[in-house]
Amino acid sequence: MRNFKHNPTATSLFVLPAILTFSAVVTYPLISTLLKSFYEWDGITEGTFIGFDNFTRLFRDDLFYTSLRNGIIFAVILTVFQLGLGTIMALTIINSKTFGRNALRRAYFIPVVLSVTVVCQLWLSMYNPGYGLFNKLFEFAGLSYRQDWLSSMGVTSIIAVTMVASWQSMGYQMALIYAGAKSIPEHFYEAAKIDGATTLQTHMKITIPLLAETYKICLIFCINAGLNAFAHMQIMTKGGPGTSTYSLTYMMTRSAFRLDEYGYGCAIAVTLVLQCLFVTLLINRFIARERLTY
Amino acid sequence: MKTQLSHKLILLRGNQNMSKNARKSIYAILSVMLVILLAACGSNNNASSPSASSDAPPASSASVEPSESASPDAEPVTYTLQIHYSTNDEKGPADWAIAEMKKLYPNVTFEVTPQLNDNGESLKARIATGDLPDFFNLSPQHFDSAIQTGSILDLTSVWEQSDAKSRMSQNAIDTQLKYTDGKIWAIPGAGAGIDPLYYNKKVFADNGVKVPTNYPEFLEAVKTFNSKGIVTIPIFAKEAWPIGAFFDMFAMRAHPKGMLALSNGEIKASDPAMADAIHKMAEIIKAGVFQKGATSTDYDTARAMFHQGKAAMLVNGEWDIGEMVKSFGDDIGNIDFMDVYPTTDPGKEDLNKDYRPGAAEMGGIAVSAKAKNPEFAKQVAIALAEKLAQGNFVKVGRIDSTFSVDGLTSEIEMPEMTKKLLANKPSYKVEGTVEHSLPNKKFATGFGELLQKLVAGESAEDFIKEVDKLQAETR
Repeated sequence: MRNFKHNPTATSLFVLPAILTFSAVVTYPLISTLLKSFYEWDGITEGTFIGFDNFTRLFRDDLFYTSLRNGIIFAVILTVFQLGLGTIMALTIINSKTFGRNALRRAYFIPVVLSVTVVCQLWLSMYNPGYGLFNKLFEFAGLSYRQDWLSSMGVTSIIAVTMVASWQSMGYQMALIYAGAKSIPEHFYEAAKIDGATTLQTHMKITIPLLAETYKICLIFCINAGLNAFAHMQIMTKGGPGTSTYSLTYMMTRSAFRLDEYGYGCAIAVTLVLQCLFVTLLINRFIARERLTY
Repeated sequence: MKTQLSHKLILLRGNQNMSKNARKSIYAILSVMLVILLAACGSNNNASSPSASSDAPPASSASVEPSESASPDAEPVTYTLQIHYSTNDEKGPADWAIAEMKKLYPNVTFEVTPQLNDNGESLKARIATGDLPDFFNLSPQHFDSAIQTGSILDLTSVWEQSDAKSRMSQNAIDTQLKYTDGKIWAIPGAGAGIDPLYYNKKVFADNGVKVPTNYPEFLEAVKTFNSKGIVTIPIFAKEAWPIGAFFDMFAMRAHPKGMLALSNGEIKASDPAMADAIHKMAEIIKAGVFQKGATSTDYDTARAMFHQGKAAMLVNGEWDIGEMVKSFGDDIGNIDFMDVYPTTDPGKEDLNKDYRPGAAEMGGIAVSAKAKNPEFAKQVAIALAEKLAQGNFVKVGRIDSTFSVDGLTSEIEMPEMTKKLLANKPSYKVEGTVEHSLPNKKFATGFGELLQKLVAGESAEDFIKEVDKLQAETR
């Protein structure tokens, strides 16, 4: 074992297959996409080099700003719901006095393991303006308010789609926060109990601050998932009505697969990657920079 | 001490030998993995690079010499076939065609894979990678890419020598066979199809609504149905094409080609006749002609509303007649389609009345350039296209076959609607096309999105402005 650890040649050789596979599957397509973003390319022929024209066109495209807006809305709502409700759920089940917490823990995670198609079909039924659950609840409550959830050209449709994604992945964030909370040493809680802190005070002063690192990871997941959203739009609205639920990913597939403008699609992909990287760098720079210790 | 030392030395040498042997084994395994990886990458690169391909003949090549395997008695050959093969309506005709092909070519076996309903996206990817089935349905939007990459075979010379051409309708030969380069790349099986406006007479009668013959009557019908909680037209506006068909019902009164004329720049949305048509359509949409949530309703949900007798009308293709017969059973007599679309002012019902939304699309069965025995494969493809078209008539009663169905009997008793369609078709004129087949792809994509916005409640003025802008940008 000592020979192995001090043998860089052997180490390199053992990691070489993984690096090669990663390069073939991730690095090569990334570099290829970056290069092709400078081309006018139909996906089949060689393409014509056009420099930054695709990017210039992108920043003048109204659809880019609609998609960007929707991505930001998606990311914000995901973050608020998944981190907020995920925290409440995690702290609920971490409390030993909670009745049925094991069952609750499993129940909260069920939506995560469901197929996205199943989840979207379920919510499409619930959102149906004629017989859907939400409008029927309004009717049952005697309210005249009805909403055509997925047919609004404003932000209603994108918010409705985002709620579906939030619901589905909330259990995943809850699991991460739960695992982080479980790793906090017990003596902090004992000390707080001795000092007479209530449960709320304990969580506000000890649990949540010590979960900063976990929240950083969760925030990166939420925001990147929001910016990259695609599946829920594709199944529920196909980006419609019109383009009101487009995301950058959806815009990319439209350019590539419907308009045969693969070069432009690559430029959108590069912009999306840079966006996600920028957000990740910002989060790493300003959130939980120093490890909190008591 | 010496013994211990030599023992240790022996052990050390042994370990070193083992370690050397282990390293040799590792080197060997890694080398093999590298070779496999590079070989895989290399073959993918060859497939995706047209200039590097040595298997696919150039797109403009003339036919090669007839192959010895053209004879039906030749050795067995298996071809992969990708067609619509998911529902019973699709499997029935396909299985019939394959059985008929077995009589013509006993040595040929088909391995059928269902074609995905994904707007041809997976086929496009396969054209790019050169990984095509031997026979497949080529759609109009894939012609250019398939020809440019040399992925499909030119069927012109084999078609000219085939007796199948005597059995294809002249209209199909004139409009659907030869591509813009004058060559034949696919054999069409389905001829010009229209999008009727079906209606349920019973729903109209039960609610005391007159079947409309012009626009004011249509608007009145919509308002009456709405007041009684009945959906006039359940539309699957998640897809743009049914909205396009509904649009053409109005637009073709202004120009026979409807949205195709907009796509070609022959008319502008702001031209008075077209603008009037658009205003009517927007008004009737605002009046509630479609169900709520139309833009998130899929094909099956919308169709089911009509097939269950819960809606008054339906915009769909001719292919739905067979399913309506099954859904309505003995009540099929209550279902009919409009002789004239009720989209004009009173007194102008005859204006362009014979122009129908629909399409006589190019496309059909194409042959991969990598198919075994290319000349034989071309003959098989022509025969297969004919049998598939005839199979649709025999098994599901479709009457839009490009090939003659003389001597064949349909297993489906021809519904009254189909008889009416057959009788009226000679007078129908199909000069437009469906939304997704508009030749200007950028216009088609943008126009489909604008149609959805119109259904979602956008005003006619905004729609007209945006269509004019789109037309200018995509010309």
